[in-house]
Amino acid sequence: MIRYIIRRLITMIPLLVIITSLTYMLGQYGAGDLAAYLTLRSSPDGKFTLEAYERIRKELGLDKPPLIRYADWLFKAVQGDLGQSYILPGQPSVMYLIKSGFPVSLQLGLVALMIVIVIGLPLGVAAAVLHNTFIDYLIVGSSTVLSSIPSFALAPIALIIFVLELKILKTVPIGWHGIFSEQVILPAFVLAAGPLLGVIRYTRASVLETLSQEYIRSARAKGLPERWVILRHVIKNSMVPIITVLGLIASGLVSGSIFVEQIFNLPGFGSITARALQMGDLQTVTGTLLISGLVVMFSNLLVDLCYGMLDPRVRLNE
Amino acid sequence: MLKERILKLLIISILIITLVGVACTPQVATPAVIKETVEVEKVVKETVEVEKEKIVEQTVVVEKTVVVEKEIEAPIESEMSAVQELRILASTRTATQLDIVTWGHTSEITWLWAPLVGQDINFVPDDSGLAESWEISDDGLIYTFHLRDAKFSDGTPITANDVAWSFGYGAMMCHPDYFGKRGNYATLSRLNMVKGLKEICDGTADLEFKLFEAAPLEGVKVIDDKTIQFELTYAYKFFLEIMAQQFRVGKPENIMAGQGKEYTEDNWWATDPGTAYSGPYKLESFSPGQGYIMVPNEYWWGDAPIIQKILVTFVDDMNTALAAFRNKEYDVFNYLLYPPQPYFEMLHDPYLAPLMQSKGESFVKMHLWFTPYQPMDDVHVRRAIAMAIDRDNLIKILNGGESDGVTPTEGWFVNSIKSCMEQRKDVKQLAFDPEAAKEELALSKYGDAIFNMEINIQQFSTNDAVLVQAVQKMLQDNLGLKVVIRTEQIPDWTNPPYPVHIWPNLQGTSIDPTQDFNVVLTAMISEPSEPDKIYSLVSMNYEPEFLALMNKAIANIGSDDVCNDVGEVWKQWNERAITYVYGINPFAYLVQPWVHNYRVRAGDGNQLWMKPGIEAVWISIH
Repeated sequence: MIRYIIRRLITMIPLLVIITSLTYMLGQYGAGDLAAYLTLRSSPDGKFTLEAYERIRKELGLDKPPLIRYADWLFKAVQGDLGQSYILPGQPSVMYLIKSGFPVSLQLGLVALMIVIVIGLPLGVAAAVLHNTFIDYLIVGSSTVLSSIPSFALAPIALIIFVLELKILKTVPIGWHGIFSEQVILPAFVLAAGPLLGVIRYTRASVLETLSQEYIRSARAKGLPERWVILRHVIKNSMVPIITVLGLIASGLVSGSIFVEQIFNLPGFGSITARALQMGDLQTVTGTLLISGLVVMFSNLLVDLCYGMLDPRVRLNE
Repeated sequence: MLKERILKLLIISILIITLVGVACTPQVATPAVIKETVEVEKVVKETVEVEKEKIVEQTVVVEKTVVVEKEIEAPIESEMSAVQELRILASTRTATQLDIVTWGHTSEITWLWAPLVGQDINFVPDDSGLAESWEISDDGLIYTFHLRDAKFSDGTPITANDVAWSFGYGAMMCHPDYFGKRGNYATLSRLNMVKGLKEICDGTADLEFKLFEAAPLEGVKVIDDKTIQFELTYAYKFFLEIMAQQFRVGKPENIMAGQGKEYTEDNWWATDPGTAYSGPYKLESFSPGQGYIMVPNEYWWGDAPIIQKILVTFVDDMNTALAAFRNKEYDVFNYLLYPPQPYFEMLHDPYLAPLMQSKGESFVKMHLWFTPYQPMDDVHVRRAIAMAIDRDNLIKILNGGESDGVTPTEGWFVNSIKSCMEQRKDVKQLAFDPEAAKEELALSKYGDAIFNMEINIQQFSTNDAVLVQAVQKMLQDNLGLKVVIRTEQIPDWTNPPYPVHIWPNLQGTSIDPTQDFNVVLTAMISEPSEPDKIYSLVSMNYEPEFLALMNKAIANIGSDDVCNDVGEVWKQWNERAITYVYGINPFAYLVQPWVHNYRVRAGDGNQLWMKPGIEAVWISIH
């Protein structure tokens, strides 16, 4: 098991290099001229001078070839220094931004994941058990509609319905008030809405496939009540493919909550990335993408480890 | 089977009941509305004969708007809410914005810092600031200010030395080594007529930049503890007005304490514990990216504020902010709103429309249409084009069919800023008249060849797509011109296809009509010698008389003659060049009806420095 983990960790390195090098190189050619921007910004009369431009280029190391610059960045990144944002007010270090934003996104992602699991799994099982019935169509249909609405549209709709009209929630959630606050429900729900359909459909398909297995027929034949068949045999054996989906969703929820965080002013990872993207802040974008890549890879690793626990036939060290 | 049918029926019934329930939920009742008394006097409707090449009869409608200030509502004990807390929704502010020189003068941050010179709702300087009186020398070069007995929020007195040091700090922040860093755009750079400041701002002074230090200034002299003198390099008509807008006073020891500290975007000297403030409120806490809290400064020299806590919550998403405001969780919605949305949506919303506190103006949408190249080098072509564009219709097209609240303007200045009014009243754009436009085009030196020439309009971004397409259609329909929209990057502006340049969104909120547009004037007098620079296209050097006029205007910036010059430039601009100023974008604050005396000044949205300001605000039971 340990050898397997080490091997997986080592294989992450080239992947991370590919992700960051692509981001870094594309950013060099597509995100405008940072030195020109800083030259204009640092000029009180807004005039562009070539001397200032050259000086700033040199200070930033932009006179070096992109490959050397990337190597410099990577060397520092390995030591935990992801550089500095030259665009954001205060010119903070990228690591500082990530450290301040990541815990919020992680907690929000966890709540959203809980919503996905608590709502998605039972509905998926129900849809499978009652397949081709009205309930099945209702579950799949309504989750398809819900997942089709992008979060930036769903959030205001949810605000109007749950806060202003139905008054189920008393206040509009603005800002981060902790994982156990009532204000986390709506952002987490909006975040969870997108992946919900995937979980329901995967669960439905997986459960349906399990239901058609011979050992299920045997269980029924030996007189086990239906709910015991479902709870003891079907759900556990359907979990392996669902875990894969949940793992991917989990990483997406943590690193991909850009719209939700902006809408509800949550000071998370997504907000930082969005602001950096809007402002052409390549240093921050590269740093956040590196972390996003790490999150996805570690989620995949966790998923693989879970396989072994759920299905003894899977031998991870092989 | 029966069970399944019952279940189906049950679910369908629940769905129908829910839908009907949501649809029938009563709308939130519109609360009582405070109506500000505004008298609009439409005075003259006269016929003016304009003599040019022929006599043209033109109807001029002069509208005079007299705003009668609403009386301040004294707090009524029985109606006052037990909790006098003001909850404000605002877009995100960073810690550095709490600085005395990087502050946003339209935001609630101004309540932390007192200005040297106060200003009333009409931009007239008054004694509501730290200076209770002042004298101006006969030549207009020396201003002597006398300070009142005022204290910082830690109880220490505010002296002339503190004022001088604060001004020096602002000057230091203007130094090119730090300009533009950490959101610092050195508000004092607009006061560079103060002796010594210009050299610091343009980096020619023999001075090394040092953060959290004051730059020595020849033009600032401390006479005694309560007297300070400013010496100018030239008499500047708007010195007091710009001082009131741009300069606030902080405590030198607090700012200097920032030396050597490592600040991120989330903290700054102004957020350090123990910082003293000079305004009616002091900072209690600042939560990065989330908001901040202000409480009254017990040493404030004016009337004690009634509001005991101001909670500012940051949220940048307008829909979320509006939902929270509609849900009555907040008292003030402090955002700049630009048409078309959500401005017009609010304007027609029965709950929000009466709560829009100010319909002032902040942006001039401006379009310059001159180029030294053919066929725009011909004044008749430019005039014809100007007359062939229906401005009123263009405003509607650009704002999704709406024009309510968006007023056309005749010059580069927003109507609500009361500056050079005498000279401005005669400034008129060429009126929309397709027939006159055709006649004007016939006078062009290009003759019929003009109909085969391409008029190229540059579309810089997709945001301008509607604008350029609308203009293209108007010119084709009204003049039969061949108009081509250019969306490609043009590396050389001085060679064909000679695109017409459109310059949108110029901001004109300074009381000085030349300040915001100095850049435009400078571009217009420049040589089109740099083909890669956009301003080559707006050079007016092919119109020598106009060029001379603009040079004179620039030379006179700040002087008493400036209004005459500006007025003349405006008139000539409209007559000779194609300057298309098509509308003004208003902005609005939303203030709940239970908040009394919260006044926002039109034009720049300043909320504090008018009599009475924030200290008169109170909240009734709701």
